[in-house]
Parts: sequence; structure tokens; C-alpha cells
Amino acid sequence: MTRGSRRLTRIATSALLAVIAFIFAFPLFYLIATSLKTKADLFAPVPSLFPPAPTIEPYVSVLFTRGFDGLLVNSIIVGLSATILAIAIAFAICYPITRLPAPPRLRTFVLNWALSLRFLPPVAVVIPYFAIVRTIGLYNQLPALILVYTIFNLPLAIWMLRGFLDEIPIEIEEAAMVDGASRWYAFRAILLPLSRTGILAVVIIVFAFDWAEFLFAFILTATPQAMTFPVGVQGLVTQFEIIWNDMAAGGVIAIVVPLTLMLVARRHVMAGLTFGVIREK
Amino acid sequence: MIPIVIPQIAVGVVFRLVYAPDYGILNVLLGQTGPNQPLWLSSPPLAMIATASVDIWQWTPFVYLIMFAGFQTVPSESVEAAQVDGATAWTQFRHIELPYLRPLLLLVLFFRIADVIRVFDHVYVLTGGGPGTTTQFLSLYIYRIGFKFSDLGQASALAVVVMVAMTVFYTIVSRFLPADRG
Repeated sequence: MTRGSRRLTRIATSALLAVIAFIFAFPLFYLIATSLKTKADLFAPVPSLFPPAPTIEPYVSVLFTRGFDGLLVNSIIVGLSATILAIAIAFAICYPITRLPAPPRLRTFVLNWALSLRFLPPVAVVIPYFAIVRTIGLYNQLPALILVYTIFNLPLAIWMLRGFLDEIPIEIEEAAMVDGASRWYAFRAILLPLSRTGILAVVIIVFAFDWAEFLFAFILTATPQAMTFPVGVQGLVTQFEIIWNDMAAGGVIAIVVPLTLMLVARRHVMAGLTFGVIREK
Repeated sequence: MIPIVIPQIAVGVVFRLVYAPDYGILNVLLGQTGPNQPLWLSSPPLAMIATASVDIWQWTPFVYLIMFAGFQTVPSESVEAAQVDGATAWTQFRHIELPYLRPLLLLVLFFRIADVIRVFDHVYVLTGGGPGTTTQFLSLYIYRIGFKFSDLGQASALAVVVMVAMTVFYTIVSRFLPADRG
């Protein structure tokens, strides 16, 4: 390859990468730009790329005039409760799998079963859930969502937690127990502190998934009393006339929360999305 | 990797802004405003392309990251040995890197198939399954039967079929997954 053609290849590659970067970044840029426009800017004959007079008015309108602050609170309550529940249960399942002499067949079965749920489309189970929730009188109530989210994120929590617990050598606990510590003490004083970063990563990922969930929240709630934020955002889009800047502001808020969390837990995101099959080193 | 962590609903919102007629930025950038502009979300072949493109936009970075991680696990000894033996870039890729990546490729394929089958949120926001039924994917279909037409019986039957199909799919898939590494 001559020097000229190599340089040409390099320029072509850079150009291609720039185009790809543009395709991925531009829609988000336009979302933010739109969320900062005033009502008057919306009626410009040709929509502008940059808001002529940036304003936070759409955010105020979404959060307070439309009462989305309540939905935000719902989302946070549901997300936190379901996350804590899921992780507590996942711990109860992962501890015997990684720490006690559980039969390998049982271990494989539990993990396989958990992974299989990842392949189940939620729409296939939303109908029985809908029927159950209505029968026991939890329809349009936050506890119903908490319950469903706990169940649905349990497999993910189990797999991630197991990955983290596997990495902590069991010998430390054994040494403590040889020295006369009870199993409970070894768990509380050694395993829990050692797995703290792992637990935090699971908390963040599971919460982000709870936050983004739409189908269940959409079907199991009906009024702002129990709706979560994504359901509210959806309402902004499918109504008869779309108020673009409010819709964009809702979208930005829906994005900012998981994005911030994921930046904190950056290293674990891939593990979360692939059930720990892929781990970033 | 930002697209991966965006809630699907918000992705729907983002692309509503891109594809919508009159206000969508795509037609503005293409200089196609006015009565003859392409209706990305409400003419049959385009709506399918639009909804598919959204999924591609969101998940290509995910596949890219997995592949990137995969390429790093290819042992450099094999690559060097091939280079010494005079392998071209293409044979090196075809006969060394690709076989190493095969399990990973299968894995990504399975995850993506599972994701595509469950897709609901962004399509619901973008087209609602329309125009007509052109983008009415599995989830939207069951949703419409069960909750728009209030026929929970038929929707449940469909759900059972889906569940059986996915169980069969998973049984096949699980042979390729490193599920019982532990």
C-alpha cells in the first residue's frame, strides 16, 4: 500500500466515523434543543436547530402544571422498593448457591431458570398479572407495581449478584468460622462489607430497569395516583395534539435519571445487560 | 453507549421528533417540507423502516461493545503466527478471529432476538402499530386484543403460544449459553 492510499483510507475512515457519531448524537441533541424552546418557537414554519430563546419553561410546565412531579415520586417509590426487595430475595437465593454445599444440579437449575426469564416477552405474562392484580384489588395501586417489578428483575439481580459473590474467596469466611465466628457473623462482618460495591452496582442497574419499565406500569395503572413517569411521558406523545417542547422535556427527564446512574455504575452496565455473560474488565 | 441506557419510551420520544411530519427534523434536513414530504410514520413501507431504524439506533452500540470486548480476547499469539505465515488481513479475520468470536456472535444474536420479540414501548409511542397493522408487532398485537378489544381470553391464548414458542427457543439457545459455568 502506498503512502497516499493509506492516507486516503485514514481520511475515509475518519469521515465514516464522524457520520456514525453524528447519526447517534444528533437525535439526542435535537431532543434537548426542542426541550428548551418556547411555545412561540414551536410555531416557526421551519423548526430551528437551536432554540432562539432558550427557556426552562417546558420543564416547569411538565413537572408542575401537568403534575408530573407526582409521577416522578411514584417512579422513585416503586423503583426503590422493588429494587430493595429484589436484592434482598436475590441475596437469599445467591448465598446458598455460592456459599453452601448446594447440589450442582439445583444450582444449574436455578440459574438456568432465572436466565430463561430474560427470554420471555413481558407481554406474555402481563395478562395474568392484570387479572390477578384486579382480583385482589391492587389495580391502580403502587404495591402492585412494586410486586411485579420485584419479580421481573429478580433474575437479573440473581445473576449479577452471583457474579459478584463468586469473586469473593470463600476462604476468608471459612477462616473466620474456624476461628469461632458464627455463620451469621461471617456473613455480616465479612461478606456484606466485601460485596458492597457489587451490591451497589446491582442496586443501580435494577433501579434503572425499574425506572424505564413501561408495559406493566401502563397496563396496571390508570390514574396519576399510581402512574409512573414513563406512562406520563407516553401520554404526552399519543395525545391528539403534541406539545413538542413539553414532550421533549419529559423525554429529557426520563433519560437523565438512568443516564446519571449508569455513568456511576459504568463498568457494570454491560454485565447487567447480558446477565453477567459479558464482563468488562 | 448512551443509547443503551435510554428508556425505550424516551427513545420513542426522540424519534418522534426526528420522523414526525411538519415538525420532524429529518424532513427539514432533507429539505422536504410541504405537502409532498415523506410520511415516515404513516405510510406502510416507511413506517416499518422507521421503527426498525430506532431499534438499530438503540442497540448497535451494545453489539459493538460486545464485539469490541470479544476482539480483545482473541489471543495475540495466533494472530502473530498467522502474520508470520503471511496471512492477509482478510484471511486473518476469516480463519482466526471469526472462529473465536462465533460463540459471542451467537449469544448476541439470541439476546437481540429475545429483545426484538418483546419490543413494545418505542413502537407504541411512534406508530401505535399503525398505519393499519403494518408495524403491529407481537407485543402490540397481544396488547390490542387483550386491552383494546377486551378479549382477555384470546390474548391469554396468544400469550400461552408465545410462552411455549419462547420455551422451545430457550431450550435450543441454552445449549449455546455458558449458563452453568458455575
